[in-house]
Amino acid sequence: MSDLIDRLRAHDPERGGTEPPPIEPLLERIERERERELAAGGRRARHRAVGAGAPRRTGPARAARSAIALGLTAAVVAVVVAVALGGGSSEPASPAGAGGDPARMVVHVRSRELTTQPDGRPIEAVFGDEHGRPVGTMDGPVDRWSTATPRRWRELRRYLPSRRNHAGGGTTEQAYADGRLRTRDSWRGGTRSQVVHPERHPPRRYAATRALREGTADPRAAIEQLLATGQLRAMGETTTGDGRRLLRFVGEQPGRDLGRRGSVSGVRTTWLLDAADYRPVEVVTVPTAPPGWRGRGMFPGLASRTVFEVYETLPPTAANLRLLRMGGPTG
Amino acid sequence: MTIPADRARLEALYAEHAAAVHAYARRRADAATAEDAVAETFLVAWRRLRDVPSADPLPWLYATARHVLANQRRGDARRAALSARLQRERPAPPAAEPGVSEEGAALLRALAALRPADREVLLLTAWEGLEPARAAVVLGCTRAALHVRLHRARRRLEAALAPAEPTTSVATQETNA
Repeated sequence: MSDLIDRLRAHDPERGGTEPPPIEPLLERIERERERELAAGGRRARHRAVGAGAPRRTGPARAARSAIALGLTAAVVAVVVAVALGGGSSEPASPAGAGGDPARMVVHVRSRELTTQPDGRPIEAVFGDEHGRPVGTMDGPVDRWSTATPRRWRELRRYLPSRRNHAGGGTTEQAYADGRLRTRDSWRGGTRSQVVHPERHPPRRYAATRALREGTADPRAAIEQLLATGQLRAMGETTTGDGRRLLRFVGEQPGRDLGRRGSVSGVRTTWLLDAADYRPVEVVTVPTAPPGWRGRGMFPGLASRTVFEVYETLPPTAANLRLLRMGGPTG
Repeated sequence: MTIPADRARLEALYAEHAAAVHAYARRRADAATAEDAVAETFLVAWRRLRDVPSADPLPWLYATARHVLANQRRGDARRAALSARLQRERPAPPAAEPGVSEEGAALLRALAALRPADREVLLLTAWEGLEPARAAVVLGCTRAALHVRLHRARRRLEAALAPAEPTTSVATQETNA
């Protein structure tokens, strides 16, 4: 082989060999998948009739997974109110007079996501397009509409112009319905559409993704699981400058030591809910140092703060259901 | 094939090839992503066990891992774009990772500057140590096409290495923490 290839070989970063992850979690996952298939009466065959050879690229399934997790997060945040604080009731808090099946209500959340340094100093986080070109800042309003039954959601994310970063602003709109995710970005034409299979989503640490994978449209299941497994705990109250009482809930996901393969940082999530009506006010996620981290001072990960400006539950009228459609009204 | 037999085959595949697939993923992604990619790859193998060639499964597993990583990258594109943006606002990292020689750093920089397709064919040959026929399986092309791609990729890498002028751009390495 050529000298160049030999030189490359000499600089293989993994030439000492790597230690693969243990097989047990994979076997557990396979077992769970099989149990679900059996429970579903074998509707989905494990083996697909395809030709031999390497599998084709699976399409943007992973992107869909992230997007759906993102969209469901809003619903998760909305529902944590009821499950965590509903005085033992599992019914979500709904506005007076709304009535009807809570699972069919259209939940509308408007939030802003701010990126900060660990010490709270804000950063102008800029979203880049697929070529890395700046589109706009990420602290613009994000509207999400969702229903648990049927499982549908739509998200409209606005990126604000930034003179400093030569960004003119833009929007991304996504809508999920009936196993299909549609995405439209303002900076490129057309709507992309992809089929997503919630049952194929692997288990993740994120409650929303887990809820999706478990095949439930109701993110309450995820929240109940968080509470049942002790991943969320009540941490008392705090009062804002204007005398507003907020309830504090904290969830912690510790970092992991991967041995020779390094480590991954953990994350601490703090939920602030309005004590008067249990509506979400703010969610702060802060990365925490991985085990064995020996750095000085504060762990240098970026924190994110999501501030909720609107949280409302709308009855499932034809007009409100149009909010869930791609290109639908914006409120 | 029965479920126990399938499972035994999967376990054998894992025992024999997980380290190679993990190394493949680790060379191209951070530790956590690599772990995920290994799990995903073997999960696909489980679902499509009948498609996994018995004689030489490694290229098939590499191809799957490649697609898994591509899907992960696509999903993480937004975050990556943001990270890249934020990265630019931070002080530049040191020129080379500790333990990497100047020559090695230059080689890795040149490699990072190549098109992904060029980089992949070189790495499959050099780091994964695949012969052209097996690398062609991973890339889904003919052996002849693989030879052409490899030849062109080598030329481009040589060209990228040729100008020895100092550069201010520094290849960013993903960190695990």
